[in-house]
Amino acid sequence: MSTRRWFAPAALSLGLACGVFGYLRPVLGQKHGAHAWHAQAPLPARSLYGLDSEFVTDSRARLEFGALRGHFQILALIFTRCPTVCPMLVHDLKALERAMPADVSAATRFTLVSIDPEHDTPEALGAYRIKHELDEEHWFLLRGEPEAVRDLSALLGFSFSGAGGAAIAHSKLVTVLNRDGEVILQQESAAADPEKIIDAIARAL
Amino acid sequence: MHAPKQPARYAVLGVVCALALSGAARTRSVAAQAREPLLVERGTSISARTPEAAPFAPLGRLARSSKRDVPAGEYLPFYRGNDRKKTLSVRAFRIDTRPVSAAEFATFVRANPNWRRSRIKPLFAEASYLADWGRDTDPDPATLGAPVTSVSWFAAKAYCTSIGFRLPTTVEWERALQVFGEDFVVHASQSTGARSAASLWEWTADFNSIPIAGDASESVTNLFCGAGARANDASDYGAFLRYSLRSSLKADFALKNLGFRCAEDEP
Repeated sequence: MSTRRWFAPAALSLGLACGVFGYLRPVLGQKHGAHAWHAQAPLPARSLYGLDSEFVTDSRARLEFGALRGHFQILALIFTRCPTVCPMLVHDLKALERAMPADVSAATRFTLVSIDPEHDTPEALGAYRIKHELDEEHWFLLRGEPEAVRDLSALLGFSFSGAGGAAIAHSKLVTVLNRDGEVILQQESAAADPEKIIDAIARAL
Repeated sequence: MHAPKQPARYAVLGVVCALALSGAARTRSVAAQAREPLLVERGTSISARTPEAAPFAPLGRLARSSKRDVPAGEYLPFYRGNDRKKTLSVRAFRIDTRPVSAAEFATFVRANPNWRRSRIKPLFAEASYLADWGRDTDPDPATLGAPVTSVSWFAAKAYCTSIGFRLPTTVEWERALQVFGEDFVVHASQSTGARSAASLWEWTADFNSIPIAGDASESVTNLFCGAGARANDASDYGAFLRYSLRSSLKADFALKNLGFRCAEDEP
């Protein structure tokens, strides 16, 4: 008799627990991405990965912007037809990469997003990768739809114009994101103060 | 009957109750939103709801302001790239005759909860977003017909996209002003609301760029080094103010004297 008296409330609470679990499961199990990082805490409010934009890599793989989560990102906007400023920028970024201590380098990726999606097809970006000898593991070259690029550049405070026949204006602005996509440093140029970039990442490791 | 004879039945009951409760919790927020009638400018209400899954609920062209055609033409940009005057050709387009009103924007936030003050991602709007609205989805009744302000660039863009339009480019906005003259500009004091701001500024799609006519892609650096000496018509103080303001904006800003209007390509 005593076991029976104990069994009913137990069954009831087990049922409740099952129900609660059923309710929470879609919330808890959100997005099992390739990165272990995805499974962790929700995005901070100011994370750039709050952008729902999708990009395409130079090897034609689709990449949600949020998939960059998990590494420190050194983010720069380029276009492959850019005559002098962008090659200088890429040159500076490669110098920065070489100057990085091993632990910083291992935690960091370089992401170059084209602001000229009309011309910068994945093929054009692929050629750019070969020309500048950018290794596949550490360097992402991304093409996005004009709206996605406009949103990203607006968030970075990067100025460019494409409409009205005006020349594409650009700067060498470099943005450093932490593992969660928050801006931890912006610099007018990677060459201006590479030590500062390395320090910012090393401190946040 | 101290203890129930069929504990299994209670277990099933427990599961059913819990599922029902959790289901109710999940739909509650949606139901709460659905109960609020959609406010349209003339006081009518529509009960139609669209699923939240859609990025933007289509509003149709309810309570839309009229648009004016701007014929194709040339625009002499305020700044110039090199030492010669060169115009930009602007394609024909259509633009709202007046900025989007608070009532129009209210229909948008009601149908698109992610753009409500309470729900918007901090990435897309600073804390002052719609801060002067009495409620999450209601502007102050006195300002319903006034241009909506305290909206970020992201929100302005989302509004225009939701009804099949877009923000005008800076060049288009300036070209419309050129064509329509002072009629085009809305001063905040003219609007029905009791706003005391001196003037109403407006978002453009490419506010963070400076239209320049010239060939050198490096000219922007020259422009900043030249510090203002590069204006095509330095006496155009209004243009100077507009360009200065635009270049100081960030996309998440929600300022009290900053509104927007929508545009579309010539059909």
